[in-house]
Amino acid sequence: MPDFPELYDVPIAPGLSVPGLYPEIQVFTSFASRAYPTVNKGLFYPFWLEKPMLAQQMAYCAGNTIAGNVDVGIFDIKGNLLVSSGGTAMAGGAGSFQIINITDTLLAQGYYMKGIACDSITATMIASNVGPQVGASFGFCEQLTAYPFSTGANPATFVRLATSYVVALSVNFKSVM
Amino acid sequence: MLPPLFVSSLSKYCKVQEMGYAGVIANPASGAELNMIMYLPVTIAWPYPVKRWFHWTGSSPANNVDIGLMTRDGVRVFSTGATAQGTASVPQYISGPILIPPGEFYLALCISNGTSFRITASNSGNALRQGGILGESGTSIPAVMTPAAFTTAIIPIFGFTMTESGY
Repeated sequence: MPDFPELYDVPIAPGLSVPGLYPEIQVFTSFASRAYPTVNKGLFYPFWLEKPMLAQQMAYCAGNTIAGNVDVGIFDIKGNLLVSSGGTAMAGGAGSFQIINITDTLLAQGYYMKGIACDSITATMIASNVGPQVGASFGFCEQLTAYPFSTGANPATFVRLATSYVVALSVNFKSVM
Repeated sequence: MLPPLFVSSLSKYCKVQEMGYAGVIANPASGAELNMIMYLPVTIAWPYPVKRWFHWTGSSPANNVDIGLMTRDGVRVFSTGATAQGTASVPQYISGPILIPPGEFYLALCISNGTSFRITASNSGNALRQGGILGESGTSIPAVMTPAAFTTAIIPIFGFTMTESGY
């Protein structure tokens, strides 16, 4: 409980996805099945919380081709890894929704990065191919070799996005989604 | 309420989705924005602690860029001042700490030469005029705007951020 009463409840959706947080991207290009751009590259997208929330799941959607392993995680704004799933094989059929459990992690009010890394360029995900000039103007970042996050990006060394690839990645605050 | 890390000409806070963009990120070419100041309506819903202003240079940056903010009534709140354009095809950051109060403003940019990365609007830019974008001839952002019709169909990528470094 805060020391002082809150004047109003700040609503936070039970899931924060990249298209939801950054709907502007879809002005320039649509999300579709696209091959992962570079083996082991990490991609990072800022999100922020108005109040403490318990992160419980992360999710993305596979594209037309299922392949490789994917790591997802949450970082503080400095790039320190807070939680990650560890490498998880893509599963299911084309277009299957990939819900990845993470250790329940209480996130304080503030700014974070959600990240995804894949060890295969055969793998496809639902992603936007918007140019890096657009993505970088929202603070999107990348790291050339980040997979797996536990050893490849702790702390991550974020650099400005230079890839035309933005994954529809989400952090979710419910155990069921 | 927490503000986003970046606010730019591509943000929903600049009404990008209402302006009929053609969805094209053009390669930098000759600067149609040469010696033109452009004013983009932007709504700021939070006290925003700006640390840096930025602008994506084109392949041939030259002369100066000036980035700033005007009130809804056209009075300059802040500008970086004319700054020499730097390296080609990267975001150029210019330090300019200021706390912006919530409100309605114009995000302003002046490029006195060279090129910039830009978005091409549909409908020959008329959609931009319908969205409230204004223009003015000049080589730097004035203390008070004397707005005129916006006569191009391009929008450079520029804005501000609360990050102090990196990215």
